[in-house]
Amino acid sequence: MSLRTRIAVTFLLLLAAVLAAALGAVSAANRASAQLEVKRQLDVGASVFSRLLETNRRQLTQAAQAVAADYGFREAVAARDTDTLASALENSGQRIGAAMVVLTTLSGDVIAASGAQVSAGARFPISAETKAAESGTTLMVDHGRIYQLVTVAVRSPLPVAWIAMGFELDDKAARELADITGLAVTLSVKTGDTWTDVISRTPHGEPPSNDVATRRIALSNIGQAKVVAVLSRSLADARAPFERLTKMLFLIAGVSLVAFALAAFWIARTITRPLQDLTDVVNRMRAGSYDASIKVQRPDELGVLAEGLQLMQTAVQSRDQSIRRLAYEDGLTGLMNRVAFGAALNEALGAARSRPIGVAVINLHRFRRINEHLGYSVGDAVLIKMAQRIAAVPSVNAAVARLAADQFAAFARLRDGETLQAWGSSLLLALAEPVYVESQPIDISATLGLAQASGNSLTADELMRCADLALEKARRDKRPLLIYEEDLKPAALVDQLSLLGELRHAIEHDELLLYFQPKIELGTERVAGAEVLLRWQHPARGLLNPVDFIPFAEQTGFIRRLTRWTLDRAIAQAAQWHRTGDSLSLAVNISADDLSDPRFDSRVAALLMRHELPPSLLTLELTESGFIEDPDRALQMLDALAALGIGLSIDDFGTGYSSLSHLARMPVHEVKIDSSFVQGLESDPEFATVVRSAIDMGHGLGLKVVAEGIESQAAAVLLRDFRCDIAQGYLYAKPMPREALESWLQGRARVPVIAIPATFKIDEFADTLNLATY
Amino acid sequence: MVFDPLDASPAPTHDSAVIDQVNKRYVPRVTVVRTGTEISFPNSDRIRHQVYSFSPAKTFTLKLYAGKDSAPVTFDKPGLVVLGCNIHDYMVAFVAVVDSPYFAKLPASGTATLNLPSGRYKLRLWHANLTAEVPVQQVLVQNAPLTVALTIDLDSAAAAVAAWPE
Repeated sequence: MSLRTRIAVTFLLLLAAVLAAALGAVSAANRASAQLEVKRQLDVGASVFSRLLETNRRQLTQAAQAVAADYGFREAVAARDTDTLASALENSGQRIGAAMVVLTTLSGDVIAASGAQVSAGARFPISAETKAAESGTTLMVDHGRIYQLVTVAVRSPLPVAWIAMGFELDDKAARELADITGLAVTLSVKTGDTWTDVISRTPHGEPPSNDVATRRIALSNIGQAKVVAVLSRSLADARAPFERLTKMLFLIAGVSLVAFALAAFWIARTITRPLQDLTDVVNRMRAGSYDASIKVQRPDELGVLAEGLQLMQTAVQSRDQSIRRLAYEDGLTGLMNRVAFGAALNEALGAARSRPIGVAVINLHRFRRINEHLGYSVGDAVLIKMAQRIAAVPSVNAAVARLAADQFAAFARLRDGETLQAWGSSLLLALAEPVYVESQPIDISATLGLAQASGNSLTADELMRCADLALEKARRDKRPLLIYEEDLKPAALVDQLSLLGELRHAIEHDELLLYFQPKIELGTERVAGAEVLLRWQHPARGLLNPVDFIPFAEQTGFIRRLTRWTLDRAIAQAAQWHRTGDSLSLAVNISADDLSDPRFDSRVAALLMRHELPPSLLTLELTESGFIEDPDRALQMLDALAALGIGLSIDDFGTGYSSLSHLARMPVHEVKIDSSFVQGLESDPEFATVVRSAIDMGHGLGLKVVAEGIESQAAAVLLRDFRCDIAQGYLYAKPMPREALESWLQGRARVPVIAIPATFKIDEFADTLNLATY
Repeated sequence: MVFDPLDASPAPTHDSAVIDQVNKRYVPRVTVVRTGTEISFPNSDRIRHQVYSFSPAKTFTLKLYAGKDSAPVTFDKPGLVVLGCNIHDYMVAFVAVVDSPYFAKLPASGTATLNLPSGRYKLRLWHANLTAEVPVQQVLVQNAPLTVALTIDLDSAAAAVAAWPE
């Protein structure tokens, strides 16, 4: 039920209830009043009637007594002069208009009579009461007529006779009574068991009514006949004035109900109409439309509500815009973010057009350096300018987004005759110009990965992934721009995803194996230690080498877990040998990504503690590439690791880009010359020079120098001549499982192992024990 | 109480009696006289009285008078005469007129002694307030004293004055 109806109906019902109660009360009061009035009238009527009878009685008594006291009359009685007596009776009767005058003996025998149908000799009933009181009044029914009789004694001086004198209660009397009292008068006589209405009169000749209140007045009776006077009042007449009042009240109630209904609906409408308007506005707001103007302008509470709603709409609108900006916009450049870009791209792909859509993923080179060396404000300024340039490239249906710190993306529907290559080149051209920040030219270059799709053959995600792959390849190949081609392995993409799951599975189910390749001290041929290498016993593909899954693990970030697992197993193995007095120093490869784990040192320490391995029996090998991204942080981590007392080795020495100054700052103990140099030793004199210089440089920095990948005796001789310290390669031993290594080690001389106990305190890493997990 | 001799006829008499009117009452209220007695009706009140009788034994009227203005009335027939005053309805007097010289008005004690010659008598007893007529009895009087005991019921509120026994 709507509010309007509810308000109106509630008040209507309330009013109706009040009116009903009032009407009920008035009606009840009216009925009571009418009944009271009727009762009062009947009381008055009864009173008047009895007064009438009393008046009659007195009149009759006086008249009868006057006759009885008359001396002449008494003489006549004594003389039994009936004619005289009859005339005297008639005379006295006429004086008062009596209908009947009778003289009887004491025993009731009629001596003489006047009027009525009583004749001399008849017996006239004299009641015992009358005899006793010597006078009395009674009602007598004779020949269907009712008489009110008064009987008095005739004394001379003792009672000798009775005079009965009476009026007839006739129609005239009844009419007079009715007219005076306003009541209907009926005189009924009971004969046997039957009541007979002798006289019935209504006041002023009104028609008789059935709905009456009555008052029965029992009158004295003589013999068997009983006489009753019935006074009645028409209830309808009595109620009439009250009913007129009630009708008037009903009329007033009806009119007020209608008026009230109209008023209630009007008021309810003035409330609910604006509420409806406000509801419409709220609904529009919910649907995301904030342009509705709120029309309700009132001075009352609804007006305040409307005003509040208007303010709320503005606030919600502005907040909605901010949220949208945050959700879909890059705060710095105002470009779309990845989410918005994906949505826009999907929409464009969905629009069926003949022209293909080209997507470019753009990576800025050396952007991190700009931030580092020139500050973030300059970096931000560069990004903004780059964004503007990308956005300024004329394209059809173009959208530009910033995907990451130094990565942008753009897509455009290629124009007729425009190739993806041309579009990409125009983007590249736009970015090639130096950027001026505070009048300072900043050289910046970009790499583009491009991909294109026609219609909705690819989703936005897939298309961007293709562009990403193209970008990766471009960066690897050091080309400024590369277009995605089918062989850039979307299949491998799927492959790698499953590989990740398999690798996780491998760790959890011990499918990975540790292989060990011994390190030999050149000159003495003693065993100086072993490098730990991973093998994956893949259930489907057989035994896999690290090159088959380590790069992938590095790309996906899984390498950290892999390193932790390897460290745990390697340290456990070294500790086991150490406990049996057969100590062997082990070297474990770690990745650049591991160095960026700020708790990596804690993890290593925790593992050493757990397996109780002296730190000096562990060496970590890391590639120079680990320093390229963030050299300062990598150095910090190396310092922390060195502080643990473990050995550090630079792997693939000579292939990286790090400067000597970097190398000098590193707390490392040895360098490993990459096998690619070693393998060219014999054939290429220039390689020999490089290797020799590298060895000399290592020694110059106070480092041990390890050569790996030695396959021939000649190379071994050369290296020994170059005073290389340690050699590793197929010439001596292939990587092998633990059991093979243990039997291989049998009878071989070892470089003595110095087990230096941990110098770090256990407490320091107590809370990191749980870090020793993988 | 009257003893009517059945065996003798008493001679007529010319006695006289007085019925006074004092305080609107006849005094005495009941008088027994022999037939032929003259009764005078002096009026001792300061108001005037009328005396009348419609009784068959003696019907007469004394017009309103005061003092001793009225002539005596001779009651010449036996029977009960009821006297009234026309202007004072409540004034009633009874005059029992009897032939027999043997009668007595009984006092409140109800006893009286009469000297009767021997012989047969008819005994009549009357009282204004009798509830029932006392039956007439025959009494034989001889030389010895005779006691007659009669029991009567009286009611001062009786509806009517008892009839005179004959």
